[in-house]
Amino acid sequence: MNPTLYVRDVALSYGQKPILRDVHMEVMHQEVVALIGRSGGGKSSLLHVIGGIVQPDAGIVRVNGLSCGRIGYMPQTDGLLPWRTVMDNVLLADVLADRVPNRARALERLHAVGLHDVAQSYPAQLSGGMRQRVSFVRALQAEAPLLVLDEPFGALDALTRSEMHQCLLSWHEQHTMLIVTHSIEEALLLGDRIVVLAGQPARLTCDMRSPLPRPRSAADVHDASMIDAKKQLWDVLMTK
Amino acid sequence: MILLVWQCAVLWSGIPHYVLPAPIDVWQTALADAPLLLHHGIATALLVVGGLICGIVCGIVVAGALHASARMRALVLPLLIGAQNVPLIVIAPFFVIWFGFGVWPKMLLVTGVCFFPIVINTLDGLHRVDAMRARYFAMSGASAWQKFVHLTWPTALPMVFSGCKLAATYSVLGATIAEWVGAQAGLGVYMMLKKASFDVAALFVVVLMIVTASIGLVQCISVIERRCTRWHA
Repeated sequence: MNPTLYVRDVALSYGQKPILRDVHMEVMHQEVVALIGRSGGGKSSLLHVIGGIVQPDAGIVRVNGLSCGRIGYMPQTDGLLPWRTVMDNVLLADVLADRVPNRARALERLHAVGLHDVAQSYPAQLSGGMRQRVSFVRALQAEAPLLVLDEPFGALDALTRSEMHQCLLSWHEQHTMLIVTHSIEEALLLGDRIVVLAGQPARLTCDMRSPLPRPRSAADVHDASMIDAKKQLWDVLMTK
Repeated sequence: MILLVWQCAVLWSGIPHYVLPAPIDVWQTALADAPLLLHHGIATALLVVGGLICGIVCGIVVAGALHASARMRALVLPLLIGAQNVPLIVIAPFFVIWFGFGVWPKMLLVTGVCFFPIVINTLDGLHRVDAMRARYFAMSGASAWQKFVHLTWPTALPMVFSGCKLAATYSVLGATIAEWVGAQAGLGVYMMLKKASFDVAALFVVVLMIVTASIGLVQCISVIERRCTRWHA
């Protein structure tokens, strides 16, 4: 089976400074991969290469077999447009994909994350957690083969983050996701596999499976099996 | 209250009406000259509205072009700033010499006065796109046109309206100065006639009309702004 995301021998430099070297990664269909690394460690640069907004110096990137395949993207902050209602923000994904906006599908998805009754509200009227959920639904609405979530819950408080984890865990079976995070716990909870981007220039130094079986819940973050995995990831991240 | 103090001060100090007319003198002059003021006021209003609309349209188009090309921006923006420093009263006679005494040179002058604040504010607004939203558009594979229509232009809209409000305040004054140089009708013409006959009360009436028109225009633009930028409230 061909991987949904195929990254092979990618290298990237900004001017004279090498950022990524020999990055090789695959994300299979309906697999959730958590990409973890230090701040400023090249995670965003790798995402930009995957998203096609930065051309690598070397290497191959394929999304669903295409060199410029569409992705569904959820940024660090919600990135919602304040002049559009919640519904119109979600439908923006259809507009950008040059499709007829699928209002029924958008409403169904908003219903699934408990936001159908604020569909006509503006983002300023929502809480941080609600805005992130809208941002997630907008990424889903792109109907792309791969969802890329770029540190999606970093700005949320612990309780809201836990709610968002639960929300995401309930969707994972239908989607292929690459989640970027710098939280070890979050990576282990959400990912089927965890890959570590480290070094200068950055390359993938670890690829491990999460010890948690599916289905999971946000409370599994306290599972005893997490302790060894957390220590292992911590050691990889701390290795210079 | 101000009017009462003004009235009492003029009455008790004995200042002659040709130096400082009392509010009642100004009011009586306005009533006596009402038909004439209406005639001149309509001529100025047409000039103001026409010039303002042309200035807004041209300003937005030029700002869009300057936003699209950094090279053009570096080349044209200093020229625009330089041109803005030429006093209107100096350039107005040249417009009459070049384009005659018709309505067009005056319209061009008002357009020119309105153009600059629109260009500067719109350009500023177009550059205020939030980096995270821009990244979402880029990662979603949006075209340059989709980005402009759905992100850049709505981001710039509040600044465009700020420019329009500034331009509106300049437009009435610009039209009056344009009429000083050469016109058949308009508040500028009325002003010059009354100035020649030392009718200070009439000059006060015109000044009040210019101020009221400016405030009215700004209010109209504010109403349109509120309708177009509901999320901004």
